[in-house]
Amino acid sequence: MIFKNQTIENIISFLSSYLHGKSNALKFSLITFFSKGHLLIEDLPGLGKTTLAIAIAKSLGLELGRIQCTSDLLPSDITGLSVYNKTSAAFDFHKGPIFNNIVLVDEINRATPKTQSALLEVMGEKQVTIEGKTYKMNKPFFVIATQNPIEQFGTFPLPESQLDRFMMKISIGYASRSAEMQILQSGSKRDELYSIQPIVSKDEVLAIQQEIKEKIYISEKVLSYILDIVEATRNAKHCLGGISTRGILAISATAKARAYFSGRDFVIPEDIKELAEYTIPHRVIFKEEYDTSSKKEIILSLVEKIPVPI
Amino acid sequence: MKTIKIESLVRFLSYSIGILGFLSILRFVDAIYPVFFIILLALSIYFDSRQNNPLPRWTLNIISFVFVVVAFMRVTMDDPVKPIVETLLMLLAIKFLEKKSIRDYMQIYLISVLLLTGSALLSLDIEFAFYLFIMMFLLSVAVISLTYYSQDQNLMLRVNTVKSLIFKSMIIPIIAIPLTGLLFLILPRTSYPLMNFLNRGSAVTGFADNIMLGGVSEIQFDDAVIMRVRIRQLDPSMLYWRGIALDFFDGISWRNEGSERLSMPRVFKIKGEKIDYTVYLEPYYNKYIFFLDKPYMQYLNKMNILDDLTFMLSENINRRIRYDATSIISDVLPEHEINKNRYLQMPKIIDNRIKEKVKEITMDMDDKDSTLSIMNFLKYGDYKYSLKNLPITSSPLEDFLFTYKYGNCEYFASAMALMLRMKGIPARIIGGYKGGYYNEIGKYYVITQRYAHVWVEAHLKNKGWVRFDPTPSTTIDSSPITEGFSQLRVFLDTINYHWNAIIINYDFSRQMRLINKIRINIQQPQINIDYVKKQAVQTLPFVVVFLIIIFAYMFIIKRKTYEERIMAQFLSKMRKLGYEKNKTEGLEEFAGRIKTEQLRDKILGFIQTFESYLYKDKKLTKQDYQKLKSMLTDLKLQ
Repeated sequence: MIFKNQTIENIISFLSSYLHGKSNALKFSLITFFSKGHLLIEDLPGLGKTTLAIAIAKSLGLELGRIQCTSDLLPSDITGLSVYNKTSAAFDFHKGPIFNNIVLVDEINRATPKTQSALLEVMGEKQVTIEGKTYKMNKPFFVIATQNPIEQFGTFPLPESQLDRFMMKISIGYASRSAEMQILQSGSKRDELYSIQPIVSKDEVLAIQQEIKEKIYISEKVLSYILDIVEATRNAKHCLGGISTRGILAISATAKARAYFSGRDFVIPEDIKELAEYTIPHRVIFKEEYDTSSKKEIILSLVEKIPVPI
Repeated sequence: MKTIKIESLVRFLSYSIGILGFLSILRFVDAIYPVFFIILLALSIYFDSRQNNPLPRWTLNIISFVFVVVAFMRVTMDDPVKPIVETLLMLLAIKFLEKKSIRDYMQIYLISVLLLTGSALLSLDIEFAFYLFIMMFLLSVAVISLTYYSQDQNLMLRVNTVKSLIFKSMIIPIIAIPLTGLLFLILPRTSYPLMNFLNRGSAVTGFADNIMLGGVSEIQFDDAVIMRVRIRQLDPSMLYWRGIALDFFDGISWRNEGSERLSMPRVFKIKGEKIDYTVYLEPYYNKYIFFLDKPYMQYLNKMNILDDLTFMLSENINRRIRYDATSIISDVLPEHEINKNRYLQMPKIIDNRIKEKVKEITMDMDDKDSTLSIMNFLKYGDYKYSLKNLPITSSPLEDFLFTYKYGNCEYFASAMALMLRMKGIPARIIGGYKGGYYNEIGKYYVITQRYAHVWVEAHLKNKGWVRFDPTPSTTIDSSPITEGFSQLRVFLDTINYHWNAIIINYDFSRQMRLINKIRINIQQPQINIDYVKKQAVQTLPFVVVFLIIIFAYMFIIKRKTYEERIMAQFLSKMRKLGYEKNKTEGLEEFAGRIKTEQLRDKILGFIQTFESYLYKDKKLTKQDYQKLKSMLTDLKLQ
């Protein structure tokens, strides 16, 4: 994919020097971010999820919060809680880590379902109500959650209904040999990341988000292409449940973002097609007999059967 | 070195060809057309010199269409060529007015050649050969130049190159003209003489309206088909195909002298089996029409009925005709009132031996017995049937009866008719065909010249005309006449028959008649319900077909938007490069497959422009379409 948008190209080329071999992950993270969604990264620990989150936050001039999930994590640990203030004789609200622009939620599947659903609700509503008071989240608000794919005791895998709240689900994967060699030679650049200057301001980020939402044209032809894909997943023999309506919105939003990244002001079918493997599989509920096989492959083969509108 | 622009060369040649076509027909068209043509041509040259043709193509197309319609109104059977030629002349002038692409130049050449052809139809004198030769030469050079032009419109040719081009182009007509001459000898002529110079005077020796003794034998070796008759299979003894009645004998040949045309058919009460049939008669360059003996009813326009129950057309049959008829199979024609003198005529000089012979074999007999006796004398007597070495002398009948004692049907029939007349019994000779080969596959009789036959009709009191056939069935020839029909020929003839059955039902003159009817109706609108109804029924199929074509065309045009056309052109271009787009593949994805980077970038450029219309739901305007199209053309294949 070629980035034709100057701002986006600047961001990506700048961050690439810090994130060796994570260009795809970076690209999809940014697409999710700019289409106002949330990202789920399913990967093993130690592959650079945190680095990615820090890099995005710093380069865009945003604040970063981090939540490390454990089984005894409580919803209030995320949202914050009121503490009695002796001097003022009143309860003061102490904001939790969720009140940041970018929130990294590590190993979300280790949190209890109660905590998970509290978090996911905030993600969806972009606001939280505590003790009768409603607090709006910061803008922009972007959650990067990670989960460990290898099954372990004491984890609570996210149910499909919750997965649907993530706009994209990606995996970073191991870096290439050459990239790792470079990391070995020069060491981790994590520390440097904290000191980088933002390339764009918060306001610019918000303006880009708005532009993507409003200015990118999506033709009826392309919309019906999306609906064709959705229908295919709903009728596929592999699936119990297809893409939800929220899923459709996510597909079109990410497609718009990709179009913007490519310097276009309209969506082409490739915008949908290329992102399909990240936007669709986690939203579809597979029948048990297909659950073990590669979900991505099944979805791709479904998409590959839909004729492109011309 | 001086150079010539290829475009100028092509233009010069095209104008020369057009003017040549114009000159070839100048003599034949009405004066107004050349004036128009010259004015329009001058205008075209002016436009071309300014590189600006202000008249839009569609206007010119409409004008051309109007001219074609007007021409259609003017075409007549008598003179179909002139209006067509005049219209072509106008079309040519209009064509010159247009902004000319390669296709238009080709059309100019085509129209010019058609004009030249038209001039050949109007007159075939030495001038035509002159124009033809120059036309062939100019066309060869022009088409070759046009090939250069199609490759590069801005090509500059050096004068030397042009010279060698012209020289090499000369070779083509020089080789082609002798070959064309050869083809002219080999190729068959048209079956219908459209113009007068074709086919005229090439009449075959076939059935004649007089019978010279010994004359038919030539025909009887001929396998050429004279007619095909769709009918059920009949007993061979029934198959007498009656054509002509001959009443006058001069000692050597029989002719028809006394036949009169009847304004109304006479009515006879004939007893016998009634049979319906359809005849497909080949052109044989005579007027008589054949019916199964005795004709009862026929359905053919413009037919003259003669008083001896024969039928003729007013013109020679010089193309295939078809007619339906009904006959009653009977030996007897109950006609009682006849002109006895006409049928008792005899040549002035008759050998006494014949008279004596007649007396001898009809002694004390009444008319009926005498007739039978004479027939038996000839048919079952000493006389043998032969087609070879016939007595063609100054007194053939005497030689036949007393010297040779063999002959063909003509001798037998002549002898019998003459002997009957000597006895005072009115008699006449009937010429036609007897028998036929029944084609089981096609269910029809095919009758060739070898079935040509003559027989006798004698007039007996209380009975009328009775058919007698004195020709014996035995032959003295060493090689008997076999029916020359192999299975293959039967098969081929069946195909031929069906082809004729279709074509004759819808031949050129019928089309002309139809056009005339339509035209007359347009020219003189009358409110006549029945007539209009009839016309409507006749024209309806044409209208329906026409409308279907129009609708189909519009439907296709409508469906083919600019976007679709561009898409189709793009895909076909890619196919030529060896890339087939998958239906489920996006355009950019498709371009991503291209291996050569340079080409890929170019194609991506095109695709992105195209997509900015396609996926933004922006309709392509004509300008956009042309822009994209030129982008496509610029995608030079490496």
